[in-house]
Amino acid sequence: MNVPRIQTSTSPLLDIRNVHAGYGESLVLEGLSINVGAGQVVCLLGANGVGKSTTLMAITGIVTPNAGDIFFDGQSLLGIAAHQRVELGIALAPEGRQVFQHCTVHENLLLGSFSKRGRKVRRTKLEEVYSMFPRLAERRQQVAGLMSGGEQQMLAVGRALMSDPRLLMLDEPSLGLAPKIALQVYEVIARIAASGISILLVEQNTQTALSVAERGYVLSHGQVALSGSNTELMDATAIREAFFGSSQTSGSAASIGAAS
Amino acid sequence: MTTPEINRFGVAGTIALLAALVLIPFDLPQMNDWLFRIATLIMLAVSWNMMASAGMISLGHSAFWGVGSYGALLAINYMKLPFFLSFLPALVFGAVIGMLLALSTGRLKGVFFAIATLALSEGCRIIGLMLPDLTGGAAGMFLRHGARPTASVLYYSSVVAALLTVMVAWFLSKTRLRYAMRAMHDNEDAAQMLGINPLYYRTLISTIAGAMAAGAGALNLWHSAYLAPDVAFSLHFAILAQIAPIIGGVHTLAGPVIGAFAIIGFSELSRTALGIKAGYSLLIYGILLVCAITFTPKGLYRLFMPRRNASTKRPTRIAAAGEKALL
Repeated sequence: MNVPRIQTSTSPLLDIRNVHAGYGESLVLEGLSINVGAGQVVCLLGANGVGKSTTLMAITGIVTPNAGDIFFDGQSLLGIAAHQRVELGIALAPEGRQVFQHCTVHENLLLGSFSKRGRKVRRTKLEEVYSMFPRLAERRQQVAGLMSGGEQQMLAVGRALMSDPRLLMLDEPSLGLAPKIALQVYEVIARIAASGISILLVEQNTQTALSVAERGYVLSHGQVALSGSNTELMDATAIREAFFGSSQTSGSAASIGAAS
Repeated sequence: MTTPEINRFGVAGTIALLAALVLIPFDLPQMNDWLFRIATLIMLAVSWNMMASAGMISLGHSAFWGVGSYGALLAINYMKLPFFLSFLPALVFGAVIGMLLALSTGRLKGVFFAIATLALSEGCRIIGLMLPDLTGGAAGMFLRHGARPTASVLYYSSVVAALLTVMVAWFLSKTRLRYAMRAMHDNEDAAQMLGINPLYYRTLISTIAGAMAAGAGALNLWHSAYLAPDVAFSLHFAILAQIAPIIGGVHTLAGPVIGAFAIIGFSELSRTALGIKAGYSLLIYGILLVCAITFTPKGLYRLFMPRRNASTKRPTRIAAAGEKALL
């Protein structure tokens, strides 16, 4: 716990300040502020439709915020196109089966290093990913669309790693996976975290996410309803209130602990 | 599989078909006309297929075709350009229209992009009609008298142009562009998150495809020697441009070439066999097209291809080629 505290005291790697964003008329994020320090694993929890994925879309640049600002390594991301943010070291392993279905595993990984940043380290990253996911190495020539959900999820993570990210975002990596497979995915996430890459983890599966994240935010109605360290958030009542709402926490955002 | 596949068979087949175009004697009556139509259709189909492979479905390929025709016609009649030089304005016009299309449609996808292309073609037609001083309006305009080259020059040029078009498509399929196209075709947002700039690649592809189709249009102008907005921007070419790659095998290199042969073949077969009874030939032509699509939904290309199975060596080679392209 000491290391992240030292780093967050300086400027965080990712700093989202009071962001309002949405799709057309409907606003999903209403003043969201979160940050991820260098080398930290931070999770974003919350029920369906509270704006977890929209937050990721805003960071990648697919969704443009109406208000607020997003800083990456001290630099504002507003005005930087999505494809250029990859060059800065931001990568997303998208939710569900968003790998390129008609391409082979190997091609998917190569596409992951399409950016200039990724191309430089392609060879070493390929070896790294294949050793991290031996399953993908076995299935190198398999068409991605024909693989199991867990394998596709691993491929999505591997593809994101191919771009040599400083910040890796994972959108519900355990979604739709058998508990045993989800556990395998999470073992790999822990290993990626140990390698020093900052991770922003979006999950509905609270317990699993908090097992690897050192701290987290619970979102509700496009805002942070609760934030704290993993041990603090393990407290079931606080989470339940944030997920399902309660008369006591309505209105202001509750904060337990001083993790941020 | 709906991915572009490069393999020796496809390349060899394409070369053989194109060689047939060169070697078959042109002086046979009818034959030269057929081969000319096949060659220009190949160009149109390759152009359409390239855009489709990047997720841009065009319903208005006649816009490129027509703009190419007009580019050549105006250059010949007003600037007195000779045969070969007349392709320069045609290609430039086509490329510019292709570039403007990609830039103006921005991130329109699927059906929305398709409708925009349809509107582009219709818009071009109306502009042609509204500028009678330049284009001759609805009455049309004839090619300057005496400007036409001999038939054999025209036919050989069309074959060379078709060859060049296929070679450009083949060359591009060897580069990173192919992978960018494939990723964009699958999921443009995901492609963008990998560092692919969709606008850049869409513009590049649309520009090249526009020039290709415009080249075919210019050739056709030299053949027909007459142009009117309703002829240049007719739905006929817009539809032929898509049917040929679909019949032959969409997203493949050889598909548009096979499709062009098949379409002209079907159309001429039904016409010569049943030409006496008006209407029947078109019915049979239609039935042949429907059968081709029904029984080979992935294109006639599949008939010539060894059936692919998951454990063959071929995917390895494709991946190896892909790796080279990306590096």
